[in-house]
Amino acid sequence: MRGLAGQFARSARAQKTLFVALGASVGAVAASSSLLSLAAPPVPVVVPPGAPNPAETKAPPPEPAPLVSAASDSHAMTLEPYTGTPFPNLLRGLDLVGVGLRTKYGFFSVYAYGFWADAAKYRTRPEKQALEELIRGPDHKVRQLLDFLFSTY
Amino acid sequence: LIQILRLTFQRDVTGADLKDALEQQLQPRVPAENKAELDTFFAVFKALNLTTGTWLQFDMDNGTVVTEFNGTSLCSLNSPAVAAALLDVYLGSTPISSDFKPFVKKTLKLL
Repeated sequence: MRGLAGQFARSARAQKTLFVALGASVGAVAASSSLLSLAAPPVPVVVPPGAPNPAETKAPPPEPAPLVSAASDSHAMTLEPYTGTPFPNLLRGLDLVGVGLRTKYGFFSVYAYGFWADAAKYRTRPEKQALEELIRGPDHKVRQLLDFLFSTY
Repeated sequence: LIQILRLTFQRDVTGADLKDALEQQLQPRVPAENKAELDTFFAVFKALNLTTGTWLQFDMDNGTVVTEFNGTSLCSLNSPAVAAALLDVYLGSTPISSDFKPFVKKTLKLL
């Protein structure tokens, strides 16, 4: 009888431990998801070549720096701030001009993404014109005109 | 080369799932007369095994899109419509991420 009571007590203790652990992990998930959805987006971190990835260490991340100014070092990386995914500041002669994270349901990370372009070409240009050229290419108006001419005549 | 877009996967995704997700975004952005080009663009996706840490890259040069998987070139498609639609997903008037476009504008110090 004592053996049965002892087993029951042990089982109750184990269940209590399990519930506490479950509660803690659910709280952690809720906290991280609310952080992702409510907090202001963190600033990407530029990491010099050879330096450890701050996302993998407990040391505080280095001071954030503007993406394009750091792009002169061909081996420097920028980390996507939520996942720590590294993206080179220079890729095939193009400058990294943005990083982002695609999520599902607001908090499941699906992919981190980086976008490279010739920054000097677009810098300090009117926003609408620069974005139009980034999306459609620099000579899209010439192509449109040629398409129109060849489709008309 | 004019632009590069690289997606680095944070979880295991099948090529078919990525195709479905991207197709949902690209279909409304590609004119009806260019839909066949979209099919060509997605033809290589089905065979892909996009595990965590792998990356898919789109190199764009004057309307030509070269798709690479982990550095291996998979296909080259000359379609200004698909290239523009792909970038419009991230930089257009209704981007899929609210943070990315302001980030690019800030980096380029657009006026």
